[in-house]
Amino acid sequence: MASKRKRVSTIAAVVAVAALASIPLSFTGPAELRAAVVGPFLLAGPGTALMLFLKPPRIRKGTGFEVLPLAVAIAVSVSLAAAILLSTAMLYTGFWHPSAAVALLAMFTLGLLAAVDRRSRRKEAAS
Amino acid sequence: MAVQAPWRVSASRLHRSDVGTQLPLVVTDAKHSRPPQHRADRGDPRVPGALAATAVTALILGVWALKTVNAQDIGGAGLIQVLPASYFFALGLNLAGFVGSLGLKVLRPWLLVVQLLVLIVILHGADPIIHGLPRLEASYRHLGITDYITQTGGLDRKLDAYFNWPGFFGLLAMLSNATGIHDLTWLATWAPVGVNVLLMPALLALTLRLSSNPRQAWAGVWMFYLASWVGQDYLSPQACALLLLLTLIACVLTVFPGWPWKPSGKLATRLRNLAHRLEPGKSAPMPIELPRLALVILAAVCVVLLAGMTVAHQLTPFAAIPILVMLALGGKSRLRFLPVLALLFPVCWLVLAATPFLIGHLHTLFGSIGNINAAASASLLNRVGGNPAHQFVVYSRLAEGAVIWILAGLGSLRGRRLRTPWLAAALGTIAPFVMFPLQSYGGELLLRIYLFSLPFAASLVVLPLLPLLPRGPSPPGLRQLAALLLLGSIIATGTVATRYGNDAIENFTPDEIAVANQLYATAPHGSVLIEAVHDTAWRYEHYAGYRYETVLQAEPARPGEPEPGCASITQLVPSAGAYLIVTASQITAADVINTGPSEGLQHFIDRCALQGGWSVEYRNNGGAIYHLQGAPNGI
Repeated sequence: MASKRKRVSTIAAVVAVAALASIPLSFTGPAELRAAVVGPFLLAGPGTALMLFLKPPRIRKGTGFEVLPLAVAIAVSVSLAAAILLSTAMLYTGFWHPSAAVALLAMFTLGLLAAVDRRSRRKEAAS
Repeated sequence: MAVQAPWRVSASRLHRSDVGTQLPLVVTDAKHSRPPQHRADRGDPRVPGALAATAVTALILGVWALKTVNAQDIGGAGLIQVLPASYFFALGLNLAGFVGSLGLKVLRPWLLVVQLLVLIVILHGADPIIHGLPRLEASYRHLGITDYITQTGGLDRKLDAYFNWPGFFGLLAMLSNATGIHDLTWLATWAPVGVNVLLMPALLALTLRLSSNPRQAWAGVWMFYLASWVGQDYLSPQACALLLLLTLIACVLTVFPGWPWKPSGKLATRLRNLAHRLEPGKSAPMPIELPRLALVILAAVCVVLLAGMTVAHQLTPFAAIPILVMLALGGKSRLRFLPVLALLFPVCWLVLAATPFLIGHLHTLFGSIGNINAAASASLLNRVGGNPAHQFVVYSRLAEGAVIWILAGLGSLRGRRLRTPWLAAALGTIAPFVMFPLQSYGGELLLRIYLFSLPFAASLVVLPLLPLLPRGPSPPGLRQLAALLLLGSIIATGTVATRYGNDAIENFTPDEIAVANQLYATAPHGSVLIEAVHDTAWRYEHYAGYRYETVLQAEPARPGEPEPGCASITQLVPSAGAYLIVTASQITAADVINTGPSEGLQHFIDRCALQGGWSVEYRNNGGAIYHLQGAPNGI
């Protein structure tokens, strides 16, 4: 149980670092570094934060099926769908600011991760 | 309401319970949920290591074999005619490695993932390894649309359909703008590998819910990769939309299984009875209720996936409609609103957001609804043509599709006899066929139906070859493993022939790219650029900066169709003149597909060039650029 919690914390930390780094890097920086950080973040960042928020272990407890493939699939697909919808909205409104859009997705991700963190702290305090 | 159950259910045993009533759901105390397995129960620990070693060997050998292929030798029959024996040995080794991994006493997911990754690289990564450039002229167009959005930050919705479903290109442009990497050719080159890797979790999540045991689920994913010859895994909106669709269906089947209506109505009762007659085993267990917030969020996730699909691709949402409807009618999805939204989203998008496309293509969209003959002609008859080698490839594709669907049918019958879950997979296999009478989708509809149907069909294809009840979680026997390996080998060999059957047409050389680069360097902005055959690696930049024209479509000439003359080119030339590009791939395409003049494309061009007014602007091994003078009274 402790190792599972540690694993979740590690994933949350990696996503948080990627989201934090994506905010400045989406505006400036060496192209290779920006690609190495912003690319994976757009691919899976927001969706992973959402899955952490949903607490996959609880789904697993309830249903018993292997939840990991679905969690990974949702993490990737939600991230891609969010970026697709955001970019489409920008294109149709004539407000094309992709760097700002990445920053917005990063802030959304950080918000979800903060909620996850707050919840786990509350639980720890209660127990 | 949150349910904090003080127990957990083992993954594999719950799936046993899906099969029927014989194996009850095993609920164990959380503290003792995973009893230490006896070493002997887990088999020899050296075997997984050996199987991993076969995967690495297959990877090295497969990549090396592909690297030895000379792309110039690829002819009308495609890649299979030039592949060395070592490639097939590597493929066989990988197939045996996967089947061996599937036959272990205890499944090792990491090992199965490794085997599948190797399969993806050596079976679906041949083009990037051999050619090192994006496959298909459409890849280059997609790069051009992305470039247009990156440069302008806007859409030209009257230019073509792509700009009316811009989601995927917006995503790429966002990536390009936000990273500062403006050349995404590398991404297009390696897309077949990347797309298939990204599909794996969604496929596994789906097959886990379609099947009765994890071995069948893994084998279903394996079968998908083996039989996926359609090659839609390039850098394309449909590849992205397929990922969203599979995740959506997996999410629905996993989180929201069950009937959408209470069994009070007559129709609902009849449907339930019918479903129970078709799938007589105990129905899949309803998951323990999730917290309401989680359910709401996951339902919202389904809506977001549907919306993302809608703005990214014009066809995939229409495939989602019948699949979701059939799953609801079969008692596999309790989200009543989702099929309704699946219909509303694309229709509203078509009417409200894709209006320029709708106005210009009313007849194309709705003109052939219900005309099954037209659909069959476009998807089947019109595609069968070309030289004998190409016809062999086309017939092989049709045969492979038919074999998979027939095997899926047999799998359904077997599933019903064994009282194991099969109905959801069968419904998913059949549902995309509803699109067939609606329109031909440029003659590609049957191919797309196969693509949407395959993830479900693959799960049924392997069903008869895996042990189900009453042996439960025991691994397959040697005979079953041998049968699975034989089937996999036949289908994989077929896919090497079918997937890469058009390799000579669909791939381009650096020389051809140099010709296109020179064309853009030579032709002033706004010029008319003409391709002799619709098979040119161009439009990756200046997508809207020129007027692009095509003389011959890359499809077999229809019987009785007059041969094109030089006038078919000159009529496209305005008074200001135009530039004609003729490439090696175009010449091969005309030869293989039998399109255009019987004398051959190069002779035809040479003959037309003698008429006067033509001058060669550039020439290399990849092709040539001609400048065509316009007539004073030209268009």
